[in-house]
Amino acid sequence: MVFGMLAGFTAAKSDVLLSEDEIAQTLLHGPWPIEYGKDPSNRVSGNLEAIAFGKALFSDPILSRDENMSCASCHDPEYGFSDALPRAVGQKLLDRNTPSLMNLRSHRWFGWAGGTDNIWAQSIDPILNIDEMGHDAESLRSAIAGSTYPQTYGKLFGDISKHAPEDVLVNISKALAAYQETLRTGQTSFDRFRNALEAGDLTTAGTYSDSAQRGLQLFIGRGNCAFCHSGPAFTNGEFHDAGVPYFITETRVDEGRFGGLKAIKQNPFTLAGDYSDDPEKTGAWAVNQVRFQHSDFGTFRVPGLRGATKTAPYMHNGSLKDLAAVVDHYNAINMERLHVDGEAILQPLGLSPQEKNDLIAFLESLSDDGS
Amino acid sequence: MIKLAVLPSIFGASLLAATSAQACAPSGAVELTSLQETPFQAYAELGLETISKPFEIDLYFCGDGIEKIYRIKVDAIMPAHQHGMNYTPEIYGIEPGIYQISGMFFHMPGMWELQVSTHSASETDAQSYLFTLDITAR
Amino acid sequence: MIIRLIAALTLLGSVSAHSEELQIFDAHLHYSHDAALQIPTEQVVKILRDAGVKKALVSSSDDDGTQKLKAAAPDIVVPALRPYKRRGAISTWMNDLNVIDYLEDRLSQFEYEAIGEFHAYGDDINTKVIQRLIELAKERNLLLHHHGDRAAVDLIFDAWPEARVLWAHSGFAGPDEVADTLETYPKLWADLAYRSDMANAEGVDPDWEKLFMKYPDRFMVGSDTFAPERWYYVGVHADFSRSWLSDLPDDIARKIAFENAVAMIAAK
Repeated sequence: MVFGMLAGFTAAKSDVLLSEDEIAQTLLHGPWPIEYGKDPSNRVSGNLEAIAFGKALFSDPILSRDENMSCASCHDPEYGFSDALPRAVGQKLLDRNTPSLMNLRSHRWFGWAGGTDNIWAQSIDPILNIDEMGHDAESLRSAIAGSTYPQTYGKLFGDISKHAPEDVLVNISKALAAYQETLRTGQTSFDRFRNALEAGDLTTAGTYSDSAQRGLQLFIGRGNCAFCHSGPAFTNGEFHDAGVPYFITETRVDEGRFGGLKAIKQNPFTLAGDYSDDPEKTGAWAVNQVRFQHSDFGTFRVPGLRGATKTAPYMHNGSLKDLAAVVDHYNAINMERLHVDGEAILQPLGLSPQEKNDLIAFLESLSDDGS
Repeated sequence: MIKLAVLPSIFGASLLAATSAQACAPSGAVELTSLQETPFQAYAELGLETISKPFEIDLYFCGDGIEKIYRIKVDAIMPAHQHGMNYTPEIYGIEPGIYQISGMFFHMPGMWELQVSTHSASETDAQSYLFTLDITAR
Repeated sequence: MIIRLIAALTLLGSVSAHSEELQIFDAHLHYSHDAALQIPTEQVVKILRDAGVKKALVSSSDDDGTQKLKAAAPDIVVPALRPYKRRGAISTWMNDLNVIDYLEDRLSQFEYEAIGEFHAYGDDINTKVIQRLIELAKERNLLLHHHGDRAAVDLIFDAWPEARVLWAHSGFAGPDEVADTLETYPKLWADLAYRSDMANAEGVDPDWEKLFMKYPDRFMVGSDTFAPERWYYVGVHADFSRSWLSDLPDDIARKIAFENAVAMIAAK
């Protein structure tokens, strides 16, 4: 009904440039934000005390064995809870770009390779990684027990002195997850445009710049971007070969999703496992039914695009310094790198300088929420 | 729909021999097509709402010979992109000729081809049929 | 299958631990210009030896990579001549008459066992370039390593009924179509590169298993190093092959892993 009505307006008003079909496609990228409700796998999800506890832990170096870094050392709010480095620096230079922590509830898989399927399990990874925070479960329990946190911990989870180290590790991570799931981007000028289209409010829709509209047309049209960057969060949550080289050194490559699948099949902290608080095991279908494919090797998770202006540099290895570089990458994508079967979506786009600017204007309109 | 058994790949003949009710599709189901001459027809009720969300399919086989169906296979591909799904669907046998498929997942918008094949048990009289259905996902 | 594959990797720790197990003939490898620039030939040979790959059908764009690798590992490399110098020409090369000169030049300079892997679908086979390619193969009795559809396979055998053809990726066709094509053409073989649908968590897919039992001499494995980094998947793929092949009778596993490719090359 709305589409038909807008089609009529489109012919009459030049400040909404989209066709009927383009409007229909645009509506699929909202509404935003999405209300996800509590995470059933985390019994302290949505608990205000847990959120405050998680927030305190997030910036506390007690989570690193040498007390020399915290989660916030890499996940800086200034940069959309990412950092400005191509590759993260923990105890040494790490292999991948620090992913943003915004809108985590929109994810099905976590990290660039999807080695975990929930926020609290993903929070465990850097705590235990010897090149990052370097704890083991026992040292973490000792650190928390010897800190000012046991009382807060006790209110949320029970007496820490009676908990096994692995349970403390999981509980601390669930508090971290309770905080991280509150990190969400707000409505942007794109959302106001999209909502106005849905409401048939052409006056408001017309305030969205022509350049961003043309960029949106490219995004959902000739650019084929929306094949992977789909839905309200602008990601399908899956893994793709975007033609980015994945050598780490001359003799070492980043296995990408293949490594993530190996990791998750050995990970006890999945939605299908005993550490999930959800008796229904909601969401466990994914880890149970995910399919091994040779194409997994060297593929990486499609990042959401909301708030992207803050999280440069881009791609799994931070090899593209800004949005213009990303657009250039896809504009002249190296077809030599892609298998003829499986990623038949990507083609060099041949965008003009104006079109590239339009695409960037659209991408920027996904970040102007003032967060 | 009641799930009688989780049989990810291979159906036991005993399950199918245990009941003899003739299956028939509900009125809203969509008929699949086949390039072969088939003794029975295949119908699907699709639970697809949107891409990037798991959905279920109820499959119904109606006509002669459904009692010879020993197992079925279900998958989907995107012919234009030459890739399939990233997840293996689970097949639940409900009764002869009726199956529920869970864990279907289309991760891209566009045309997907649902592929359903039926297989008889006999090695000497093995018979398989392939049915397909084009589904546009958004 | 992933569970089984991972279990194997975990238990055995490294790829080299498998090198004394099931021998692998990797029938689908490329050492193309970018790989040759980024991965030293000695490193590639080490990858192959560590993986237990005893033989490999190698084609590269451009062909220099194949020649380098053959010089470094003559015991492993079975050379094939790819008709185009860059993968980017995959869908256009059959319309480029310069390809004929390139093929004739390379064939006059080097020894090959095959021409391919070349990409061609349907009527592509009727182009002047591909018809000449088939003639050149016929003159030298070379294997054709073809990536394409059934219609193209039909046209290749129309042009040269006695051809030996290796169907790359088994045409990405389903078991029924693969069976029909193998039945129609006794001198067609099929590689299983870049596909994993023949096995899943429960083991070998029953329809593929029937196919392997009915045509035990016609299938082979391959890993398809289409990008430089994929060389670091060769060992993983060899283990993957060993894992799913272990569900088949030993003699058939050996054939698919190694012997069929040797026999195909020898069937001149």
